[in-house]
Amino acid sequence: MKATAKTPTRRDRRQPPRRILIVNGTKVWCDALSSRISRYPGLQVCGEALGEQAGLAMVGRLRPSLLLTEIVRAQDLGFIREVHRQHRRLPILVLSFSDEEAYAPLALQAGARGYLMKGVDGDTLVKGIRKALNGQMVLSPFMRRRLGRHGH
Amino acid sequence: MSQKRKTEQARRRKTVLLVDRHALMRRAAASWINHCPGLEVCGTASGTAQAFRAVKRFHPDVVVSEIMQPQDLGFIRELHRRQPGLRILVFSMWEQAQYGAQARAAGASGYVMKEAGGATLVRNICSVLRGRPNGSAGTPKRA
Repeated sequence: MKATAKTPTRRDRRQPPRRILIVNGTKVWCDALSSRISRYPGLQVCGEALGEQAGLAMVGRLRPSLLLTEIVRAQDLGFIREVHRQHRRLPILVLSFSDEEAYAPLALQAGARGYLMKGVDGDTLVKGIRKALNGQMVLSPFMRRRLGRHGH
Repeated sequence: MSQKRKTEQARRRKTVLLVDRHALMRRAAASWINHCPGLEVCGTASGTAQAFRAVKRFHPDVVVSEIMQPQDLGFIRELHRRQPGLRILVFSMWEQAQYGAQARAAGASGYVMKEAGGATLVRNICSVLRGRPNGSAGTPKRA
């Protein structure tokens, strides 16, 4: 049976929920992501940060299972790089308005495990979160085809 | 009986049409609005053409529309031209100080920034429906 975002895996039923930290500069997006993600079994939003400094501190304090962040400007790649440097094993998923053709490869280079555009729906996002938690790379089908051709 | 009462209750609820290009935001905002006893989302639209069709079909009490780019104010202007009585709340990425007045000139009844959270958005929808000049949560700032 194909796993969907809604179906909890055996792991979800057995294990405590996986904890997601949201770092997003826009309050309403923090609220929206938090209220959507919490509806899915096995996932819990453990914190929200509006800024990168607060985000970095919360990663250290809350020890989330996954960091969900965004890229607004090129400088935001520095945040991903820094989190990845300090917390090598933490999966970082980027959900961003910024063009995936330009930013997805840069985000992966900086240490992110995946990149999705903000147009995705909740199911796609949560499927991405679960994949990233399982150690898989998360990209849109378009970017998968594009990067696949270059041998990534 | 109870079914009928429920329908009557639903009829008294003010209807909201949500326009936002992001599915996640539409779903989240719809659930916040539907949790508010006096409000109900009657439809959502991801783009302007769909929004015009939805306004015609659902006759909402208020349209909540995001503004991603300053050019999007053209949509507000056109919506206001077609339905002058319709209340429009602009939900924007842009500074109220900079675009609030322009949005008002285009026909918006209220302006709320995305920097505000979901609760503020819902409060502002209620204020706009009560005919307040702007959201109770934010005093109108002028450039």
